[in-house]
Amino acid sequence: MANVSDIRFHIKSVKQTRQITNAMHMVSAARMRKALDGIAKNRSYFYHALDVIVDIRNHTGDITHPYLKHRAGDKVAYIVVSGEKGLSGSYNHAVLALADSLMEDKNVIEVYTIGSVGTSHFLRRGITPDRHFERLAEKPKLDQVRRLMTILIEQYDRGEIDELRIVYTRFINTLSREPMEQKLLPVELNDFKRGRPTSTQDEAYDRSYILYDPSPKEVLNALIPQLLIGYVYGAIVHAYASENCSRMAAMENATRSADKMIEKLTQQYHAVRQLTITNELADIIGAANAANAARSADAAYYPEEKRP
Amino acid sequence: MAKPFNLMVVTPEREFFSGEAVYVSVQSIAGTLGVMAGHVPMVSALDVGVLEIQTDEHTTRTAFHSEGFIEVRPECVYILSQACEWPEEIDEKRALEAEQRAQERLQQERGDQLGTMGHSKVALMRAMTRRKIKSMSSK
Repeated sequence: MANVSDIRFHIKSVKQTRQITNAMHMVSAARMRKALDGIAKNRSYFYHALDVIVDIRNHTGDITHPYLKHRAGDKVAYIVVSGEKGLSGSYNHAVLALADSLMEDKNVIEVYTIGSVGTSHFLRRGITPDRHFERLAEKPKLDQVRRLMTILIEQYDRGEIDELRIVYTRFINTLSREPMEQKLLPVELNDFKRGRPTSTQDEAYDRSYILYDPSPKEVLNALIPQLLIGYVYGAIVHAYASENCSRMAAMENATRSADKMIEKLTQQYHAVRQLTITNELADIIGAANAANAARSADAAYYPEEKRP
Repeated sequence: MAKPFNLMVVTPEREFFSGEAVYVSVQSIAGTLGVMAGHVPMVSALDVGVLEIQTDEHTTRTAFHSEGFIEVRPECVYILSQACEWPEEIDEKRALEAEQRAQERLQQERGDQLGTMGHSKVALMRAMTRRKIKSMSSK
């Protein structure tokens, strides 16, 4: 059995670990709340843009746009959104596994990663990401997303890629998240409607007499890139919320098991300490008994007056 | 006194303005566009420019707005832009740096790559507009 000081040392180290996991839990909880706020704000922006585009398509009929048409080629570019750090449960693994399985049977010519876990994952597999954006997963910034999308849309314009897809983790609620894929280019408007709440006020609004200034086509031209930027930004915010939510759950579990372990070790520590005391007592009593016995034997042997 | 209407200015990152206004003007892709109460329902895309909000007869606030769009509905006017900033939020030093960067890029790119030139131009516009609004407000 381990001795007292060993166990004491063990308890101390578990307590330190517990402190770290507990702090990480708190930090993730705070960050998640912030990210949820961001999701709500981006949602109204994005759905407004989507509504307008759908309206233009519905009421003006014959408008076509290069971003809405399918192309014959099969050159695909992927954006993969993962976390910046580990220690977040199955979050990184889930989204990267999905990305791997999706890329397998496609002609992927470009990979863009957001988050360093994804970058190192692809490097390990021998794929060098064509461009990677660090720190963006930790702090979603719109101007960076705009820069990323500008590059990609230009490549699409030049015909270097025929399809653009994004893999990210969608935040559903604090208990569930889902890694998913979304086709960004060519734009499929129906795909974007997933998870959208319907409001009755919107349905009552008659949209057939809206004036488009200067023309529906020009408004559409200006809006589609904005819709994409809005979507990608939203995806990164979703991923950020998911990452922190996942980390929060993982750290909560870790804190709980640390508590359990501390309790178990403390019990063990008490048992060992008790045992040592008992042993010591047994030794002392044994020795005292022996000394007593020796003294009484002496007393019996030497008469009182002759004792030295 | 002009009739007030509801105005909401939203960016993907925050709700920039929400409340009543009597007049608002923005830079649309077709030119400067002013909206008052009772405007016909319309939609237009926004360029980079100056956002002007008159909350009542005497107070006008100016701000910077980036690309986006405006939607005029009977009950509310929505302005959705990728970025909006009040003059006090504009980082003048950063805008100046961005302006110089964009100008350098334009010098280099002239001729060889027409594709990216558009973006440098937009970046230049953005920086110049930011600086203009900043200097307007500090006077």
